[in-house]
Amino acid sequence: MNKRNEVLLQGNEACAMGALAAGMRFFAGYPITPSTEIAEFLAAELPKLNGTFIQMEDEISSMGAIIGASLAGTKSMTATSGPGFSLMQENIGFASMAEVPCVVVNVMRGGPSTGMPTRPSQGDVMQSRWGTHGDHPAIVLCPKSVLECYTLTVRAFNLAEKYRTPVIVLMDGIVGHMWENIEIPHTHEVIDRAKPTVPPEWYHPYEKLPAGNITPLAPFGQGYRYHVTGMVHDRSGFPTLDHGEVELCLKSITNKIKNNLHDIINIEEYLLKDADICVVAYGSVARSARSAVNIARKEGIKAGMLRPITLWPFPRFHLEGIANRVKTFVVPEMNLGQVYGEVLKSGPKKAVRVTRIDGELITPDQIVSKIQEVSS
Amino acid sequence: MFISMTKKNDEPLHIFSSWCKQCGICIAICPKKVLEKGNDGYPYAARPEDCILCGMCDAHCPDYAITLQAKHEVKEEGEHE
Amino acid sequence: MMRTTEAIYKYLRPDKKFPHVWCPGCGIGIVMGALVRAIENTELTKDEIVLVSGIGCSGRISTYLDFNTLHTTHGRALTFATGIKLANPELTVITVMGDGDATAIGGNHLIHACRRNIDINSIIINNNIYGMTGGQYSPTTPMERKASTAKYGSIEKPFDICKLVESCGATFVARGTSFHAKMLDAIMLRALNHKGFSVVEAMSQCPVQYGRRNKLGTPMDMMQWFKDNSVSSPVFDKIPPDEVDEQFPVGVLVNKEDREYIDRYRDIVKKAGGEVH
Ligand SMILES: Cc1ncc(C[n+]2csc(CCOP(=O)(O)OP(=O)(O)O)c2C)c(N)n1
Ligand code: SF4
Ligand SMILES: [Mg+2]
Repeated sequence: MNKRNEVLLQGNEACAMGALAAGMRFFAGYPITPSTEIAEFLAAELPKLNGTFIQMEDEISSMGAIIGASLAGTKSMTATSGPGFSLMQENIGFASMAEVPCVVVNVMRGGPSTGMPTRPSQGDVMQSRWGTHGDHPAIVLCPKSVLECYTLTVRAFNLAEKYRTPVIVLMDGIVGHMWENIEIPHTHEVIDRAKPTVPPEWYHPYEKLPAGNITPLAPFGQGYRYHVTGMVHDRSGFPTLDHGEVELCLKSITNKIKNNLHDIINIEEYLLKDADICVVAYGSVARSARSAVNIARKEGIKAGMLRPITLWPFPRFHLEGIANRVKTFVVPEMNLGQVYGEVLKSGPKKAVRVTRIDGELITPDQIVSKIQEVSS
Repeated sequence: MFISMTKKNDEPLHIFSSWCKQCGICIAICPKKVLEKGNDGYPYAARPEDCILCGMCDAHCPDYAITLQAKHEVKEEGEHE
Repeated sequence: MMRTTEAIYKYLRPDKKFPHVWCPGCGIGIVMGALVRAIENTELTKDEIVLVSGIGCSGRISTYLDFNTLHTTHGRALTFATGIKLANPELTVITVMGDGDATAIGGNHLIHACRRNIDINSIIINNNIYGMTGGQYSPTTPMERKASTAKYGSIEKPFDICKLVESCGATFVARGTSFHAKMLDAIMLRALNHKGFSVVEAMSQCPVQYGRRNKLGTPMDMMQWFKDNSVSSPVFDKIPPDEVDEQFPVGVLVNKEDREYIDRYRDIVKKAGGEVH
């Protein structure tokens, strides 16, 4: 470590350190490549902080355990990869429905099924949005560097607490396993669990507050006795089939995200002001995309990049804002076009994709060729 | 432990018919055959004088629809009145 | 001991609709009454108790009682309960599960919770059937019994829940039935006072989805069967195995001491140099 507080870290480690910095004190997980280092790191570090690390019997139970811990008032997290992420989906839906803050890290690997455990992929973009059944919200953050593994994990906890919802950190195997020298931020905002301001008799855990405020979630055991269920519920948390209540319940879990897009969505823009060609890239692929843009610029092509840091909700308005002036969108991704489909929804003049699912990285050259092709 | 009971009134048990689902368990389980099914389908105490306040009916009523009209106090040893 | 109805009034959520959802003669209400009486005989306040249930008819118990209550996903009650207990060991965590909930879809969680010996009190309401979904066979449906998915009788050997959890390391195991309502609350009380993972199997009649299909008679007939075939465990142990027909032991079957999971975790915290609060 040098004076600038720089440390050489792996992406997975940085993610785990970010979680600790955000106040996470409960981790439950099940080993799976390429996410395992997160669990291993926390198995060593959490006990030092009197936090809990537990290796559960599978990913279903890991997800259940972190929801339970969160209801007891502790910030909690799990980490997994593709197959494990599939197993977690039912309980992720529970966390959405019951509005329980928690963080799920999915370090993507090649799928479907056991796929390619040691090869990178971005195949879970849609699963991270629509993996669980029913209409539900999703906040998904997508780091491109070791530093972002740290900062976005902190942010994931903040968003989880602020909006009382599960938040997914969607890494790819490259970012998770990459080593970089990073300067750990000295200070960062940490949002802690809000406490109810009303006495127990007045407390309704699912009260819809005006101006988009969200009712604080009282930890179990502190005098606020209430009911939590995955069934559609009324403001007091009890199951209901009343049309009005059902609609209120379901719309509010989505609207609390939809009405705060400006707060939740983060993007990176690179050389976009005068760009004719906009590369839309995320995660590790954005690193290649940035190089590709530089190369193209040297060749006199006006290329730029837009990187969704918040992958879901998708930064559709940002794309719509430039769709008129950009001639072509180029979307490189390590899947068959999952974000490409979202780009099409923004009404571009033209959009093309660069896809790769053979377990290899997308190189800057590949993207450059596509840029050259569409600009000629 | 000692349980003392005094009957409040003649009716040893009260059936709360709006919670009763007429399952018949209380009628069948009473060791003294105190209960019978009434014309309305609900159980009633046909032989209240036979009730020994054993608590079989209320412990086995799945619907919490039977209250024994017995005032009882649980006392520690040596506290007998 | 307080009578059911009085105790129930104290613990029922005042704003919940009654009569409850269970069918006429269903044993779940009797088991819930026993649970309330057991809790009434502890020193616990309502705030200290977290009641976690799975999905099924039995899972509905969590809606009615005035504790911190959590109605989870099917089979997963123990996973949520594990998180709660570890995050706040001061809380008394009770899980209520159905036979399908606990031993089919949640079987893996059950065996591992036993193995860890974490201080959670589990109540498994065994009605030998999937009640809520309309009478499909469960891992405890006896051979040859009919179910909506066993039209010609079940060909699967049922689990003995108590033996299962004992072999997996549960340190307190007991069985009661809806007929033995008063004994049930006594064993539940002992389970609550036990430190470590406890399982109380409460055999309960489902007259609608199981009884009717198998011509088992009225709810009382089904309870009478429990009475006639249950044998207190010390007596049961003396019956030669080849003479056991349909009888089953009731009472406390296992009660042993072993270090509890959170106690052991505190060792880890110390070894890591952390401070145990
Ligand atoms: C993942 C999942 N699979 C299936 C179901 C449907 N389901 C609800 S309850 C139930 C069975 C309930 O049986 P049991 O656990 O014995 O409880 P009981 O209703 O008999 O009390 C099933 C299969 C579900 N809710 N979730
Ligand atoms: S279906 Fe069976 S278990 Fe469910 S409420 Fe009815 S009687 Fe009880
Ligand atoms: Mg069942």
